[in-house]
Amino acid sequence: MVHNFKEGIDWIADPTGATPLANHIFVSKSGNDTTGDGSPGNPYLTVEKAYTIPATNNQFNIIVGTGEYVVSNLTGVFSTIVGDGVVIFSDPNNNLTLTTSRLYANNIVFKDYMILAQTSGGVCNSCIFINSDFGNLSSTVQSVFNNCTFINSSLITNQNNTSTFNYCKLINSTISNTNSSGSVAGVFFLDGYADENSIINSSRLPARGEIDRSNIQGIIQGYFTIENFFSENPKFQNLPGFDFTLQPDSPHIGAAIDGSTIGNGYVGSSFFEGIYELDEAINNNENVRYNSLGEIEVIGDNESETITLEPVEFEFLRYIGKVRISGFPDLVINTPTSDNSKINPNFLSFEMRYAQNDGVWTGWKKYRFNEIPSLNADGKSNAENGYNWADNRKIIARKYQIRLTILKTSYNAA
Amino acid sequence: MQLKKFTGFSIENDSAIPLRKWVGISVETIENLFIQVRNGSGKLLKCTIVVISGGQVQGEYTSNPLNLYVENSANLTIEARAINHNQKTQTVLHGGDGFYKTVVFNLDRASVSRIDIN
Repeated sequence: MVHNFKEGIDWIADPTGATPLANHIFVSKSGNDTTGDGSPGNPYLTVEKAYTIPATNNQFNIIVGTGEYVVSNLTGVFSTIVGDGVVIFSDPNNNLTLTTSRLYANNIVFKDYMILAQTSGGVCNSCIFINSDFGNLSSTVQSVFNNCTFINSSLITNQNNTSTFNYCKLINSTISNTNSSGSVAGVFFLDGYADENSIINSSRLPARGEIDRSNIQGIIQGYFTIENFFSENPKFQNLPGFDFTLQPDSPHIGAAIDGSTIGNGYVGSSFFEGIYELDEAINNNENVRYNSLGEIEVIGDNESETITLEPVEFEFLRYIGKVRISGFPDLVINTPTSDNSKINPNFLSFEMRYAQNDGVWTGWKKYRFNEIPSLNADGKSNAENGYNWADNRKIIARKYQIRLTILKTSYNAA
Repeated sequence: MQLKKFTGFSIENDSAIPLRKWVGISVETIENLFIQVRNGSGKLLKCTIVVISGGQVQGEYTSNPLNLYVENSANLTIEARAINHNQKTQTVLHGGDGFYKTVVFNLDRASVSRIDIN
């Protein structure tokens, strides 16, 4: 079966995308735990099934396609869960405990989870934790979070090792390591941001935690060495809308140890309520509106509506940057229907056209959210079937225009 | 903070521009600035030349060569970007073959500066 996975594929050796990298297992909302074999073309349906495949202590990568998954128990040790697209692990009842010996995860949104018990260390990269809590980490293995965002979440532990946060953001969240028995330092919070409702606690005398090069507006408790920290408005584009891209004059820019941006931020342009192009597009369609929470929703009888934004012009020819979706879209109906049952996996996309100096618009093409809009040499866009990610060409434009198709009950998934 | 569904989207700026640029000729006095943009064969390119000074775009010019008169030029830094028009059939990447191998500044008052940006 043709697949739409980007991650875990050996694009260099086989540009058709049919060949996975070694030790990779694939999961998709169109997969099947009984008839699937974990290959890109015939993936499993659940993360739990994929987790049972590797032998103990083997470091497999489990590639999970766009969608919302209820994951409650992972029996295995070292496998890394990798989100391919927008991947949300959620618990609608807010009572699940994600039990795993160690949590290795990349690009996963954890929503309403309690992550504890046997959890002992691990590494999480570019994950978002929402209304989720880590607890009872008691291993001698350190926990590392790189480029992660914590929203209404906590990590409270007496772990006998370091809890390290590199380039992370804390929004109304608490991280705390209060183990007092060892000489290994507790919480390292480096090149990060913590808002005024967040707490960073480390009580590990005689050793001390560290807070370096971070924008801390909240409370610091315990014992730290603190260097080059500051407390300023981070100038996110739209924090209530969960857009953490930065305004051009944000103090985060260039403040990290390597001259990069702290908090894993990027300078960007917003398209939110209050931004002319999006407001106009919504005003021009009577069946689309912002609700009281600032979410974009479809009203009326139609199952979907398309809104088209005004074109945006650059001063001169530029590459178009990564287009990120904001908020946490409801992906429940992302389970393939009879209309798109062959999509494996689903992905979130928008449409875009562009023009160069001659001002002549290209045709509309679909591109994946959370990727840089890109084309193959033959003009195929990165949301088209058979896209070759080894031949990934950024788009050069003088102006561009975006339109979105929104479903009544969720954001559109291709 | 309340969890929200689809609220909009954002586009990260890609700081790269699709061709080489050069930044910073600092001169005490420039009155007549003469800019040529040539390809690797020495042929003048059809292009747009963007002149930026003090961080502001002062003008975009489609003529090549370009003659400019610059006022208040003491300690002025000029950044110029050359943009190719002939994009229809080819993709322009950084330093791609045939693009902007050489940029020639001909400064008035007999001073000639040649800047290779390849």
